[in-house]
Amino acid sequence: MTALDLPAVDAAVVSIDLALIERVRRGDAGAFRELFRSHVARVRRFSRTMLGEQAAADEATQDTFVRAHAAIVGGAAVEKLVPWLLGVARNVAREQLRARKRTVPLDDSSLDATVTSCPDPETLLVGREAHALLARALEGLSDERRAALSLRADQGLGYDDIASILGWNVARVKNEIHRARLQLRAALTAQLEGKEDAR
Amino acid sequence: MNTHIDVESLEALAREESTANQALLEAHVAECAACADELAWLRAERVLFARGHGDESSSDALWEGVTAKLAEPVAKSAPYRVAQAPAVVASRSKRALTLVAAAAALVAITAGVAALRVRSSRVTNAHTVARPGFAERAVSGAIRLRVRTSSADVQIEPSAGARLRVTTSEDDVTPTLEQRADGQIEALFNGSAASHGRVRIELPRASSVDVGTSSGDVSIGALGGAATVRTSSGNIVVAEVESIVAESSSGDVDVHSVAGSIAVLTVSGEVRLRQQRVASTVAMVSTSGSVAWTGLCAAGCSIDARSISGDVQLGLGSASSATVTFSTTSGAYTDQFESTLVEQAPAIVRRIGAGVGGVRVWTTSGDLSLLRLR
Repeated sequence: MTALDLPAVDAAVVSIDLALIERVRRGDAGAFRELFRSHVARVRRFSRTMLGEQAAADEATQDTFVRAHAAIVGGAAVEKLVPWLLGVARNVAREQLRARKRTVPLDDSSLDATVTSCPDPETLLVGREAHALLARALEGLSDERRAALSLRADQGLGYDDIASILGWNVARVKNEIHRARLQLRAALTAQLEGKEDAR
Repeated sequence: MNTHIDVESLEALAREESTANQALLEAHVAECAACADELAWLRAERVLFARGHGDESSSDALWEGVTAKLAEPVAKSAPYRVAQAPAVVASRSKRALTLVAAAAALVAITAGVAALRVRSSRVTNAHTVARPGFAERAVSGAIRLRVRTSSADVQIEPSAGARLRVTTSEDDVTPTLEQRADGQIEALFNGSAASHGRVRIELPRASSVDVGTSSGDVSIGALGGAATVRTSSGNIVVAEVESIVAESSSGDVDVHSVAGSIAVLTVSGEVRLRQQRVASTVAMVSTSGSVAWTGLCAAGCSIDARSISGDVQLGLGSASSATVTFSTTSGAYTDQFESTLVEQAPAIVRRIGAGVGGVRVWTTSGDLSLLRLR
């Protein structure tokens, strides 16, 4: 006999979340506060990565929880809270980005050629503001590619969950994350080389 | 070795996770410049994301914004459509009904938030008394209390009147009661978490409590409100609350007579739950501790139990009606009911009575026993 396809590592979190969701559905305001408290940092980080600005990210975080609440009490079947919540956050961020009519250059035809070996981690981080470095590097990624990379590298989600959130197949998820990493590394390398030259 | 390591394995190395073939992977990385460089990038990426988030300030203000938006009239909330998130299982034919339900629910949560605000305003600051070993504050109804200790035991029970009273076993500890921005009242001990001794708290029925302790034991009785308890090694005993979320690493958890939802998580502690009424939503998770539940499971009952190596024992009242799903790698299944086999693989599915309620059990090596109670 084989076990059902429930990842054992996540089982504890899933169970606690499901119980919490049930309480929210019954109108328990305290349970929704608890859900918010447990997951706000994660949603906020993702929104920040997607939108770049803290104020916009905070607004999106609030909207994410408002929508999530409406969906839960409206009967949405939430099987895994974290991927589902990040899916809502992604929708909220996408709408904000559309409203900004943001355009993102997407030319990764020469990515492999532009990426060099990884600089020494000390070189990459010491003496620089990691936040600014990362934010500038992420700016060059398309919204969808940035979402995919964030969900994998920052949120630690599995490819299946990311595919579910973004509506892609797993192969595309892997490919987009690969391309995102190449783009990110190229951007980081360019920043570091530019700064080194300026010295 | 001519081939390179796949990115998932390198990601695991970057996260410093143990893998079955870790020594082989590390040996390969030591010899392969391409894999070493990829691993260095993945480690740098991890550090960048970890450090690259600027403002990690308090989320209290965000919560205020959420409650304000939830409290807006439903008509104004219309733009907040139900999100089309991927895991939402709602067919198009049900969407209109869902939206109506969501609108109705928004009204309900608006009332809930309003009630919550009313609760937080019930504290009467003028009647607070604090001295070594004792603090008391007059309140006019249910409150939400937060208390933290390192090794002090916590005992919580309903008060005889409209008051919140905290007493400590140690005379050198002065408890105080602080109003928090989120509406909770926090019990502090010499300005911080209680380090030792015993803390006794009396508060109005229907109050909610949030208790956290490292090694202290926690007992909550007949409170009627929601309870959240987290300990590292302390034992947890909870009876007659509205709902409970209990987490402990090595402490045991005992829960009695909770009509609402129950979520219990332990690593090595044992879990024992007893319910008198028809169970609602119960989630029990333990890594190596045993899990035991007794009660009646029928319509509206949903029980999830997960364990790696601990055994799961469910004592079901004879009038129970449930469909039992048991998934295991090497655990054994026994039951004292005349249950009907619905499916043998990949999971055992058996029906007790009409099979109305739901019982789902996952183990790796733990056994599942269903006992028939009178």
